[in-house]
Amino acid sequence: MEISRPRLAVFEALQVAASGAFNDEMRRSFLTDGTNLELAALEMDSLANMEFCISIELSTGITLLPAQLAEFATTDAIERCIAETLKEATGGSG
Amino acid sequence: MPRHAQTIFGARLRQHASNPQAPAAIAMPGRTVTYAELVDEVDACAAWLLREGCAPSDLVGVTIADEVSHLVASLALLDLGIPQVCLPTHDHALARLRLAQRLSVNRILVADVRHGLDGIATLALTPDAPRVAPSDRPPDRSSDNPDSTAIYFTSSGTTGEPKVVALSQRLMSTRARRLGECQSFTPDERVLMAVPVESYPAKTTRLYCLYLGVTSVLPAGTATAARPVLDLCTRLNVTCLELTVLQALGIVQEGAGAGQLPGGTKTFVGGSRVPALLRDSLRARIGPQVFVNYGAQEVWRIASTYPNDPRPDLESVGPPFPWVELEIVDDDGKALPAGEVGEVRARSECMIHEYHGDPVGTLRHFRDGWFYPGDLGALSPDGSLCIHGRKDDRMSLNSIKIFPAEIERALEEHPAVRAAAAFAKASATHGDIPIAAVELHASATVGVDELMACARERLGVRAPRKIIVVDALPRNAAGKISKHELVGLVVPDK
Repeated sequence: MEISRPRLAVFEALQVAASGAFNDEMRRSFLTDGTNLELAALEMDSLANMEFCISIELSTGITLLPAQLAEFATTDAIERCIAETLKEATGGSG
Repeated sequence: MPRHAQTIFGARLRQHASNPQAPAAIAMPGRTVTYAELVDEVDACAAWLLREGCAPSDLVGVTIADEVSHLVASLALLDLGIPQVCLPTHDHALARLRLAQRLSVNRILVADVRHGLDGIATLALTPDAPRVAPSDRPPDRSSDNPDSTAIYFTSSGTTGEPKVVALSQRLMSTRARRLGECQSFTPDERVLMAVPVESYPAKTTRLYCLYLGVTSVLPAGTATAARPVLDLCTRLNVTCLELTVLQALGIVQEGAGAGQLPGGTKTFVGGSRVPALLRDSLRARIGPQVFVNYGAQEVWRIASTYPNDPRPDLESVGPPFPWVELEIVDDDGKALPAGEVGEVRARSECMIHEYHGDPVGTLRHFRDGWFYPGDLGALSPDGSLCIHGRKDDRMSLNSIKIFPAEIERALEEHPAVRAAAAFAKASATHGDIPIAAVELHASATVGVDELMACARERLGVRAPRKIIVVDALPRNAAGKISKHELVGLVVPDK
């Protein structure tokens, strides 16, 4: 299964920010089964939110505000946001 | 007494020349110059300069790469009280012209006529230039004011226009005396700074050695790499060696194959951060007589470690010299107690008090009689200074203060890492995101994940958020890492 750039960016960000809750089983299913994770289940506090946003910014160049994370209920929602922003940045060519 | 003997440097040179016990003035492969011979050369050059119409109202640019010729010309100008500035041959002609115009240089002394600059009178000190006997020296109008500017230097490692530092002969003589003290010179000292004479620290060190009457050992051509430097030390019995960080790295990396230093040689390393690992490796490689220097052109030598440092593992730059006052202050200029990190400020009899023609730079770095080098540091309870990086480089990640040096030290504790450089990636949201680039030891293999874990374990929230492994960290000629080049490596993943 090919992993999209936005999904890989979210995966790496979760590894950094939610290292405790984002356990081995969740990591495996996230990458191989395309599982959509509830952010609430990842127990991310404000510091973790900051780390998550920094990781996304470094890997994709997209600025995500920690406060914005509250608007996303799931990892799929974040992925969609990243994908759309990347698409806009490349002039809609994907 | 001849008129030309009245400048400080002219008088000192003649004093050494008349001393039958004086050691050689200059030693280099295949050539030794006594003080008497040097004074003859300087006198001939001074007579020629006068015949060419040079006067203290001039400002002469010196564009001569040859070590001895450059020193002779420089000493002749000092002898005549004519201010000078080095316009290095290795700079592009446009850069030389820009500096010459900025300082209103009106004559350029060259060894190669191709180094002349449009619109400025050229004085060609070529081998076929007519030699003028000192006895034929025309009457001169030498300036013997010891406080007038003798030499202008430009600062290095800055962005934008380089700052210009003006030194008088009196200040240079003070610095020369302090050099002799801080490096414990004996009359037989043989000093090598293996950097070309056209660089500021090399030129001043050579002039200070000649002022003190010790032997200045000169590198041949561009032999400034590790092996030729050590060979030179052995061949010419160097007793005091000044190294850049890059040269020190080269000596360590080349290992024993690069040769040895004569026993007892004092080795001084400085110019930029000297990592703990490099200090240890250097001691293991060339012996215990390793000193780490800290200073700035503006205030000159500030502090140094000593071989008997009770805590050589710490990355301190040692206590300040006895003639230097040093404080760590907060943003309001209030002195901080030992252990607290703040801005370094220093003052001493060796300092200048302004940048030439730069009131804004002067206001920024010279305040209330102190010079602020722009470094952050802390004093240990025993008075040793530890530098934490440039004030401008201090990062603020969502209000978390992070010093590049702490990241660099933490990563360099990993056995695979030879050197690390931390810098900031600007973020509109988070401020400065700390990033590190690392250079690994030749045979080392380590994953970025392991390095990240190592940094997080030691630094917590102050750890770098990205680590990039590079083949070699970009460095300038003095061994200082060019961090602005590293910022370009931080690009989003593809």
